[in-house]
Amino acid sequence: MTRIVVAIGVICAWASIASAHHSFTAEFDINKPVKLTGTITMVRWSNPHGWIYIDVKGDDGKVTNWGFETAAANALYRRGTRPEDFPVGTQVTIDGYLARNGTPTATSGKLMFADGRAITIGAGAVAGEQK
Amino acid sequence: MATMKQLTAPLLLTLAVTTLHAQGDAQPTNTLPNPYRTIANYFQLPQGREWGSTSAVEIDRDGRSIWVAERCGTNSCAGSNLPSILKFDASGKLVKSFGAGLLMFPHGIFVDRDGNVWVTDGQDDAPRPQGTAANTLSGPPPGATRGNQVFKFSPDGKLLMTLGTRGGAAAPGYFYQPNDVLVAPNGTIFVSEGHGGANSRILKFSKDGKLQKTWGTKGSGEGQLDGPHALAMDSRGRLFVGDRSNNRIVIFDQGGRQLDVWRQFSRPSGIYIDKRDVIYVADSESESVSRNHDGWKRGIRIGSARDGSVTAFIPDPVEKTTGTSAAEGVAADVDGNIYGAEVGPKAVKKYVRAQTTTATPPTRSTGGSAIPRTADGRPDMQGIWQARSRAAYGLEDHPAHFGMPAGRSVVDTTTIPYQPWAAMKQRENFEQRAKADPLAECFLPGVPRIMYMEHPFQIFQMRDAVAMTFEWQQVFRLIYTNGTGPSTPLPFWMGDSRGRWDGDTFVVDVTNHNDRTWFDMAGNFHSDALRVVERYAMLDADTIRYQATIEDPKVFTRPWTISVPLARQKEMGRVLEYQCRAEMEEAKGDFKPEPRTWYQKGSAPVPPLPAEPRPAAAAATQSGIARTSDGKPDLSGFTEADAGGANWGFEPHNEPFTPGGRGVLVDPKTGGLPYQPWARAEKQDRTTPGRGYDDPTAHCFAGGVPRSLYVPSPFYIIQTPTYVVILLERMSWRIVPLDGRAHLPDTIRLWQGDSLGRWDGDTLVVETTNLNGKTWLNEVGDVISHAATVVERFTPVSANVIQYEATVNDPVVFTRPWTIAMPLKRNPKGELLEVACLEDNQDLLHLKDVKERSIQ
Repeated sequence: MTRIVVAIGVICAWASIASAHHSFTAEFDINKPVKLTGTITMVRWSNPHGWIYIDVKGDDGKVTNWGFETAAANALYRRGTRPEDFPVGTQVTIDGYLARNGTPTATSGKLMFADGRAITIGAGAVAGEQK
Repeated sequence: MATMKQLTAPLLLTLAVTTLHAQGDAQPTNTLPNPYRTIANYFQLPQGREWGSTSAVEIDRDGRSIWVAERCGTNSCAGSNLPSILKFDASGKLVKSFGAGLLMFPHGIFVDRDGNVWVTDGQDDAPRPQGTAANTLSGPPPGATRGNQVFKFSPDGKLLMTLGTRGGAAAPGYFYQPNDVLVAPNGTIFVSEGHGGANSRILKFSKDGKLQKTWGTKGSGEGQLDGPHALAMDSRGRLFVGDRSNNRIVIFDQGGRQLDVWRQFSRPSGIYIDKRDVIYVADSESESVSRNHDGWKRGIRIGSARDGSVTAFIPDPVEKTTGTSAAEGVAADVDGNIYGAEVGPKAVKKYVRAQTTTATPPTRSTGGSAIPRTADGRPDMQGIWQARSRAAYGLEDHPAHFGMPAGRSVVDTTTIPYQPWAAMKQRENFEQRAKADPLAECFLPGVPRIMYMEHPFQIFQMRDAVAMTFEWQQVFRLIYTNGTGPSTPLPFWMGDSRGRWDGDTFVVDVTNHNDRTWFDMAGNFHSDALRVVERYAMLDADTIRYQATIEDPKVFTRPWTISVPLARQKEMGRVLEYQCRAEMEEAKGDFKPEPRTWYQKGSAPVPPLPAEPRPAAAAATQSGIARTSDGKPDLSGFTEADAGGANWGFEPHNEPFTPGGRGVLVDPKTGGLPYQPWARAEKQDRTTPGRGYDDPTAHCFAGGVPRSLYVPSPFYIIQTPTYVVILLERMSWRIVPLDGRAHLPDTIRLWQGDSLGRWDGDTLVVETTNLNGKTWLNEVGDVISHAATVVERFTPVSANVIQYEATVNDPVVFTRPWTIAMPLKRNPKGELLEVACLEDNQDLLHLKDVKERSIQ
């Protein structure tokens, strides 16, 4: 948890995240932004949302497996993202907001690779689904 | 003489070697099966007009209409005022004609991906050279003032572009005797020229008509052409040139590099390649006009543009002639019907596949009624069906078990040819079936299982798609019949279905399966390598023989086939709903509807609120909207709401974590939704995190009406004269009958309600009642009850925009009716994917946690 960057007062450009499927305000906490770096362990290209799991090493050396919820599989696909864009073992940084229930789970905004490339993987307004 | 000999010998040697190289051991391909029957007089010309010569036939962008360029009743349009370019609908009716006075000798035709029609004019108006003189010309004779050009017309016949100069020109100018034209998908234009003159080449132009490159000279060697009579392109973008007088097809890349030479398709006057790379080649000259190709029969050869195999042959019925005979031009529609355009016999003929003899021979009707047919002559399978079989319990012979009646095998080989490991796996599945069967969780059943479950389904047929709507979990299948293949590699529970007609049999190729569905309750299973080929054959008006051939090399030792009869459900007026998951969660107490809004048996009817009459939707409908053959606006196709954030509130909103919205409430204009006090309080309560779990869409239940249309997910509209059906990507459907029937009894309550439609001018008006009152109007908890009547109005305002309005009259929740409005955007290129919401709904567990622990 020590790596969680609490960006108080900074509202990211993609803050208006939404889901097609359930209430984000009910599941995630707008007041608890996170930004974590870790290694991809699993990608679920699924519905109603996809999931990317990363192993994050804390300052104490303990490794926690975090789940980041992404946009739905079809939404990602129509944006041009492909399952093979996220090979297991790749080091990435993902930003998002924590789940309210205290599990190592968050909703996602952007995924950044070590070389600086970034992909918007979050749901909703980020993707231009809503105008 | 000596000099002559010295010159000739190497030349002959060169010719022989070239021929040997290119022809290989090509033997005449004359003895292939002919699975086609000929329809000689399919196309209707206006009263008094006779067919002239034609070598130009092409299929419209719609895949079914036919374009023919015809030589004005004779073999030239010089001096005629008849339109030479003709469009026929699929039934053979002339629907459009143009080009009068413009073309001398229409020769080649092509329809590009935008629907524009390209035609070459292959002669000029100069006195035609006599005897062998033409062979010495590489440009038009003196005095030519018209002809030798290539024209591009809009689908309505407006001249958009002209290539070449009037009367023609010799190289490096162009054209002299342009034979054929082709436009690549990227807009690059190819023209082949040289029809007996001294020129023979391919010209390549940019999209805007600038000459980029030419290649080819007259001759028979490599890189040479002799009368490049026809052009076609395969799905890999290879350019096929019918090098007619050399009796060969030469295949080039788009830069003119020669890739291959094929002789097995005989002497090519015409070539057509369809979207599946089936190649059709017309020979009109072997053993008649041309005697350098004896032993080869004239006719149309059909095969594969991928591997060059020839698989079928339609021979010229004329045995002996010295003139051009049989088709010079050839084309095939999306259903595989072939059209041949004939110069000598002056005709266009249609060739249709004779009744298929593969698999099981067709069974004749045994005293049953005749097979009904649609307007375009297909077997009409529309209606409600249900399997008459125990296949859902077990495909193989099986004894009875609890909840599983005994049944006979429906497999052609009695038992399923499993690999040894897979046979063990099936036994394990059987033992674990109570929990391991995907249907125990109400997951999507997959294909073919959905077809023989003991639940009814309804079939709807359109030209470009066939839809099936199933009672079970409101699953649907959308089977594209427009000649396309899967547009994504994604695996789906229900697979990706593409259909075509093989004679009277509807054949569906189902690919892109996941590895999670079963074939039956007995645990018979497959991998993600599954491919299912289904065949639907109507045996009589009330019976379909359904067959499915299962291929899966990872699991089975060989393909196998099941056969199940489907019986028409005449007494069943409509397919209702069985929302398996919603019923299961309610039964377990995992989902509790709000008692003040849902219909409880015996609830007294609630009279609707007095409503102000809504003015008719914008009366002045724009021109340019598509219409069906019965004159109604054509609403069909892939559509998405420009929803203004309605799924997060109907009023303008801009809050963190919620997509902004422009506001869609048009009545009342101020004050928001006209709530009764209790309902306003309930709506407020629903915005707290603990209530997120109560939104039915968080459970993956159907969105209800009108919400299903403005959740951010596309839908596909099916339209027939008697139904509009909305297939929602989140895997549910709304069926809207237009036949004037009455609503269901009050006691039948449905997630998507009971919708009835009617046309009010160009507006489709849909009235929905019998809602169950378990849905929310959006994620911010706006309230709707079982007492609501929803009136939706769909008004097309331009080719791709439908204005949508929904008026909700709910006396239990509101003080007056209210109305929202938004445009729906059509996208002719869009395709529905699949949202199998239940497959990975981890959010619900989180929301349950938040609810139960009252986390704020």
